[in-house]
Amino acid sequence: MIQNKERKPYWRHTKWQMLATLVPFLAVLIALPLYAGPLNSNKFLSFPLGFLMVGHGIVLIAIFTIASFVNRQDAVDHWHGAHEDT
Amino acid sequence: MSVALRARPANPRLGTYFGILLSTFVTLVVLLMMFEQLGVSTGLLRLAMSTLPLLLFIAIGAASFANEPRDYFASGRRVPAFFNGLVSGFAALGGVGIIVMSGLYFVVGYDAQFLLMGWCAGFVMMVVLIVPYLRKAGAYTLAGYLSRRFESRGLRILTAALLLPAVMLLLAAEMRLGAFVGSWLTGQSEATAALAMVSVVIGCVVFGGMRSLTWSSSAKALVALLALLIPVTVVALWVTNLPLPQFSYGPTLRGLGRQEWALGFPNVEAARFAFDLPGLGFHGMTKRFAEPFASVGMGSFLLATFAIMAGVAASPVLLSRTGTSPGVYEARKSIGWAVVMLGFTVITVSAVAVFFRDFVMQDLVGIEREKAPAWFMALVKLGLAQMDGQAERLAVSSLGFKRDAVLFALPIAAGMPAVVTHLALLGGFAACTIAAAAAAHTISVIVCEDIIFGTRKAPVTSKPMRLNVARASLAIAVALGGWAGLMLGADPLDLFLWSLALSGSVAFPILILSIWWKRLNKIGAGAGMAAGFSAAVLTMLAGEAGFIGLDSRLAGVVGIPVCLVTAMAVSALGARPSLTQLEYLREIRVPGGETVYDREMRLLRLRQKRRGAEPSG
Repeated sequence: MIQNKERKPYWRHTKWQMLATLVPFLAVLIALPLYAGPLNSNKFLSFPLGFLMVGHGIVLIAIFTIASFVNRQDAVDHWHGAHEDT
Repeated sequence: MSVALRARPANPRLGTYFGILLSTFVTLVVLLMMFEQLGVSTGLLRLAMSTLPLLLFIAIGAASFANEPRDYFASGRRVPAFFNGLVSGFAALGGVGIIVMSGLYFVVGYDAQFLLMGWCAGFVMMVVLIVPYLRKAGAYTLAGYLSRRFESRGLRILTAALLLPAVMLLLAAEMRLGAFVGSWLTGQSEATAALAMVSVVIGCVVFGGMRSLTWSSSAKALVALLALLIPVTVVALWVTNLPLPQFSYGPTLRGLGRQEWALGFPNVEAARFAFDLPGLGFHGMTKRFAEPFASVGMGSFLLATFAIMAGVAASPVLLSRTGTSPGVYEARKSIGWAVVMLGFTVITVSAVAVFFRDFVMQDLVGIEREKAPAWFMALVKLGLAQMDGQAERLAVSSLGFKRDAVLFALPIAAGMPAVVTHLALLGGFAACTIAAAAAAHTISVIVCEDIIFGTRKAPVTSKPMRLNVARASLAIAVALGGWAGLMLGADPLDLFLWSLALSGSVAFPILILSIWWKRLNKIGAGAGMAAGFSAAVLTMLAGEAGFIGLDSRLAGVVGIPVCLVTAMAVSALGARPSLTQLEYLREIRVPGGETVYDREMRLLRLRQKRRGAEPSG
């Protein structure tokens, strides 16, 4: 059970965690399609790189973003005693 | 001392049950293939392929009967993260994400990927900004959460009324698509197929609500995945010698690029805000597959990505599943699984489109009209493909295919047994019913909990009445959805994108502000939602009428900022939220402790028990 004095630090930590997760992801989300054309001149596994990054790449980036968010946020919850009882 | 009460643990034999289900299904497919070789009539094979699995799904729904509100509305809060993610991923995709998406990839190639980017980004936004807090709140609907957060029953009715059109559009889209696929699968008319779909959706949900929905949809999702994978994996093995279509179609794509160059496909770039997506008619391959922004301009691509992201993140259909997880951690994890399932499926769908393009290039382009292969003539006979002009040899420009037929045309083009085509059709139909059932259940819960019983001061105490009203609402919603899907005659893709535009414009900014900005008050929330909805609807009407240059399907990009600005401005000018509201917010921001809704219901039950009234769920 979280202590009252831990609530503010916990929420501050959570906000930083949110920004650290979303800002890079949104930057990639905007940048990837813009560079797809130039990237297409390169190939990876015979795929045009721009097409591959926007198709397969965004899925892998989203999975990695969520996995790292879930683990780090769980660590934040435990650090401040805000976690669920198991 | 902790007061957290964990739900009962998940059934440890779930993996065994679904393993048995998949084995049974594979056995059925193999048996039917053997019967086909033995000369059993196609009609009988179609009947077996369509009825047996659908009856199995309904049986799973009936076996998950529930008569406790917590089971009916939140599946007992004990669905493991994997199954929750599986159902969420397929509910987000539905038939549109599999059937329409394969056609979109086939026609516009790269430009179809704004949908995939929007889906992935929507789930990322959802898991970081919304899901953990909604799970801790534990309300069965978004309107229920906002009503408790701002202590306003009026806001509950308003939210429900503004979200219903978005969910109805989604239901109509899936029913429309399901009727088309079901008609092909059963060989009956679209009206009969729609009636069958209505029966399947009701049968899969009515017995146990969210519980039936979860387990019947898990079975359907596994069958849909298998049905998608089998034909394309066999084709990948033939074409690339690797049974991994998702990663092995690169050389095929490279070959396609060379052919496109040799045939003089134009390397054009669309206007920045062009949004030219193929509709219900016939479409050929006029764009280079991997080249970006030939049909959808760069500006529209980004705007569409963000509109879909907001619509998915605030979708009442998907967010209603957060309450089914055993806890906040599992709810977060389930979204990760949803992205795995969704991403894997869409990447597989892109492989289907590339292989079908390859078949068209190899088998059709440049050959004499009279020597057109049997598979193409079969598609022409079914009204799913056409050849224009009178030229002696077939050219790329003279070939046209129905967008929604591409997924099922691949096994036909590859010369696979008819059972494999029926299998693909069954998978598409199952995907449609997953999304339709999720939408129908959401509508029924909104109508029952937010509209019919939402105005009461205390929650309704009669369990049978509460559940029977929800069941009756479900049956009416599905019947209306089926009727709307047939009568509207609109493109399912348009209905789907309008639905996301509306849910994003109504709920996305308000849900985020209600968690991350203490200052938001009930007047601001209500004004923001009403303004966002109005702005989105006006943009859609103006876009359809051609008054503005923005496509109606991108209405979310107007509705979302209008909602955000209105909510913030009205809240800043209005009264500060009460201490009770802030205390509720403080509580849902921390994962630990008992789910707020469950605790309040537990205390209510105790009070009612003392008074001798019937306990509520």
